[in-house]
Amino acid sequence: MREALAERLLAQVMEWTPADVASERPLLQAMAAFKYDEYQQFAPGMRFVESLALWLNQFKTKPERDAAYDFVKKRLIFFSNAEMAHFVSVAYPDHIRPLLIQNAARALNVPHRYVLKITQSPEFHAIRRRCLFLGLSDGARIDVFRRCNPEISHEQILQTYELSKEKSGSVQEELQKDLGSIIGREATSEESYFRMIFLLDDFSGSGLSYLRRPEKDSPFSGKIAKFYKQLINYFTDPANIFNLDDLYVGILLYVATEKTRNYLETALSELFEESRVGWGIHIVQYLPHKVACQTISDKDFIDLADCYYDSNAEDQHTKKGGKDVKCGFAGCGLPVVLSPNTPNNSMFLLWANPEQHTVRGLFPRISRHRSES
Amino acid sequence: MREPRNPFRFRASEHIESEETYVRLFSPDVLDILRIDEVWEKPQIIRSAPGGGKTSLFRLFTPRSLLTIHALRTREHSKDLFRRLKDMDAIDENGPRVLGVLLSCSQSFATLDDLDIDTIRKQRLLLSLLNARFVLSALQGALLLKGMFFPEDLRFIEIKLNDAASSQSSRPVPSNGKELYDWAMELEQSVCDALDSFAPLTGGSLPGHDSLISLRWITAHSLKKNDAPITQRVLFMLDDLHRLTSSQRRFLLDEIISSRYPVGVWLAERLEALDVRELLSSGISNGRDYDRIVTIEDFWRGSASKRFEKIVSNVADRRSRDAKDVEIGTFSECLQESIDGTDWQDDFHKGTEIVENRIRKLTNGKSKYAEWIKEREHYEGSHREIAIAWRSLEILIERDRRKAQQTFDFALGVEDLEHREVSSVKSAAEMFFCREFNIPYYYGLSRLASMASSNIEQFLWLSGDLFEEAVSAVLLKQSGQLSPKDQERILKKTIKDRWSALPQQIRYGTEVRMFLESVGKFSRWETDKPNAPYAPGVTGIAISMADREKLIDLNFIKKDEALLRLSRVLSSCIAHNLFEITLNQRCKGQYWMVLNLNRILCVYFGLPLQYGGWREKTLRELCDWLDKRFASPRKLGGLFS
Repeated sequence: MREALAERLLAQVMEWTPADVASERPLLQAMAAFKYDEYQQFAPGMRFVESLALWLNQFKTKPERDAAYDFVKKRLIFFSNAEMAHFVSVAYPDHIRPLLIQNAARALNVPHRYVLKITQSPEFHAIRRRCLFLGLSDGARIDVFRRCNPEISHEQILQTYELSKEKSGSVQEELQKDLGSIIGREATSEESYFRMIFLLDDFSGSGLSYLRRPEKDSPFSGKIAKFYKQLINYFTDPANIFNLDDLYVGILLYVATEKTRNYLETALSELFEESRVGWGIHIVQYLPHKVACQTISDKDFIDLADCYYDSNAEDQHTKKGGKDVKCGFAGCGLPVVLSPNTPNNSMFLLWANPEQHTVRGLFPRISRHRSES
Repeated sequence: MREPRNPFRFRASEHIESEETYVRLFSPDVLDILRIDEVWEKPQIIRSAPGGGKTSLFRLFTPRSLLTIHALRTREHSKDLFRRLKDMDAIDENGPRVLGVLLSCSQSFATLDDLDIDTIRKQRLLLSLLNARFVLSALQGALLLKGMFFPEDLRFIEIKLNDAASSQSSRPVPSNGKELYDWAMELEQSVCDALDSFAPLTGGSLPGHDSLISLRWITAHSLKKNDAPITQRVLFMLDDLHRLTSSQRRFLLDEIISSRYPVGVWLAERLEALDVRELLSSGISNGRDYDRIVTIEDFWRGSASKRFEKIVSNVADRRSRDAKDVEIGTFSECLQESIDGTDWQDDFHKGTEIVENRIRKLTNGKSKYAEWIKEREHYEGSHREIAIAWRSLEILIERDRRKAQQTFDFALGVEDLEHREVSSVKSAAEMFFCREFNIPYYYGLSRLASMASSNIEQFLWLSGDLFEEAVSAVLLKQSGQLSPKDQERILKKTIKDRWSALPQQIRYGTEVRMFLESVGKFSRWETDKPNAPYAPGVTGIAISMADREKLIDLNFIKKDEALLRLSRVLSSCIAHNLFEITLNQRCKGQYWMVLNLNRILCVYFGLPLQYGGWREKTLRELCDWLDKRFASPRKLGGLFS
């Protein structure tokens, strides 16, 4: 659809006068050019303004369309590729490196403000080398993380958290070699284990995909639970590359909500309750509760979500969130869109896919769990 | 990010990435600013408020722009520009004839003044850095002109100084482009090292030049390829001089003016670089110091009437044609120029009845004005003209009634009416009528050009919103021609937004706005008097030239905090074109410095756009306005009204 045609359709749908078009069009054009057009799940030929016009057109009344447009203008948070790349690039220097400096300062018994002294010490280099960075999903952008942090060896950064025995063997071999050159003598195999693991991911709205109990008092499932099982197995393995008595597990999320942090804090403390594993949650771009749609201030849009909801959006996976998905998975109510795909924790009206649902989302989502029907 | 789709949103020329877009949008009439016979020989100093068009003008003479113009010389939009540049001998059918070297002072020059070294060394460092950057930029430009690649082909450039130039140089002159490039790179590196150094700077570690030696090395005669000149002339353009510290700026100006370099040198700076004395003298060129100073706004103001309107109209048309979404031939097509159509007939008619009744009540059947009223009863013209005629009559009757010495009640003749009804009265009447009956007044290209106050950027942001709405209407398949009412609505909103942002945008912004508010309200109060004594209205204030002398005497104003504040506020206003200055206006046996409000402020305060009406003020009265806003007396017209 030509841009002008889409803009004309949008103006008709919104019943705009030329004065309205003059004030709204530059804003939409700027935001589309700046961010929204880069959404990767738009159908071929589709751009933001076209999608917006079609999205608004499905609402029956003018007040409904106004409420929807107002929501997009005032509440939508779109994380562009450039912004996500920025979060990845600052994740290590701003969130991990200070932690390593503190650990090294303790080892050296100097105040942590002696940054230059600490970072030039073999202790710091050894602590850094004994970190392992593992991706929790494709969104972890391991390639970008690698390129942004040349001071970390490629052998420390792995695409996946599922470690095969072969891979762990080669990783440990490299670690032993590097440690030797740092400490100036051959490192023993007992010394050659990773002391810190960081699990990387791009976004979390609820934290449920990392850790959840299917039933009350049942064991945890989810990615972190699966990873922890591996740890325990390695612990029993003679060629272990971890030592559960001397291990820190950090969850490093580029974007995450307050809900995720609160939930994971409780869940992780339960998961590691009986072990000596230390843990922490590191969030680069923190989204507080107030970012989510609020019952009172966002009432019009929530009513709209209620009115235009398609219950076909619910399946066995969404049920893990414990609610319907009018306000997104687990009722997160987020107004968030990521340039590769809209998270399902966002409002349903943002991500509904016209090929699967009776309504059209502004940024249709491609689900990981595709319906077989 | 993509270019804005509204071509009026392009502001600073440096933000236009595409050379072709820049050339297409450039209006050749801007070249009027330059005096053709002297531009290449004598230093030119070009000043303006932000947005006057200095950088756009300089960019035109860079090799990239000239090559683009040459390539597009047969295209309709570039023909005029090519011809004008050809007249200046900047280009011909074979290509550019001038090597323009453009350097902005915004990059790290001012930081040299922060170094902990003596003044002489700072000056030598400044000259060194300028030399290095001029050379690097000139070499790049020379290769571009010859279609060669930078830096691979530097070795093909020969540097052949004549004996006089060689003898003036205290160091061996590099003989080819590569050597010169290496020399400049090393020089720039050593200056940058000095800037970055934490260690104390010693004389030995600092490079230093006594003059702008690069301006003697890079000349039309010295720069050759295969023993043939690369260019017919060289032009060095130093932009953003206001980014230097005041001592650097003064030193550099003196250096360039006194050294008489064998190349053209153009300098551009914002008015904000000037001190109070210089600002309050704007409009006067100092022939002793510099050969030519052009203050762009003064140039347009002083030029033939409609000249600025012609140029902005040309600029606007070029931009309209560049619109991507819709086809709009000329910008003037977007603006309805007349209000004589049927839309406003009823309003004019009803308004006329009210004014007519008011006049009859005012004259109370007196025979003195009977002939005047009779003449208006038979007045022929459009509804608008009739309305204005009646309103003019009301003003004239008010004037007559207020004469200090009342005459006998003899009937005044029609000739007397015609004699008194000068164009300024009609203008005042039009404005009064439109305001009273809510009829648009600020519309049409001519008034839009007046509102720009001789500043092209101001014109662009005023027109940008108009154009946006015209395009929006076309997009909705409606007429793209904006009615006078819409034009006025859009312009008032745009100006109101600017007014609100003023405190954040200029120095002493809060005080400036408060002061301007007093000037505006005072002008409105004077304008609105029923007899329109300063028709078409007051749009400025004036201080005596004697008071002006006090204001620029630093020793005098230092003793008085209020005067010091006033001088700061006035300087900031002038630097940002909020006041337009005219010096030595004679009135009531005295000479005055007139400070006319920028015309957008006239719109904001509901004043006419014509010049001429101003009121004298003392420094003390103006100082009071810095603390207390102007409040109009309760009764208009004094004791006998």
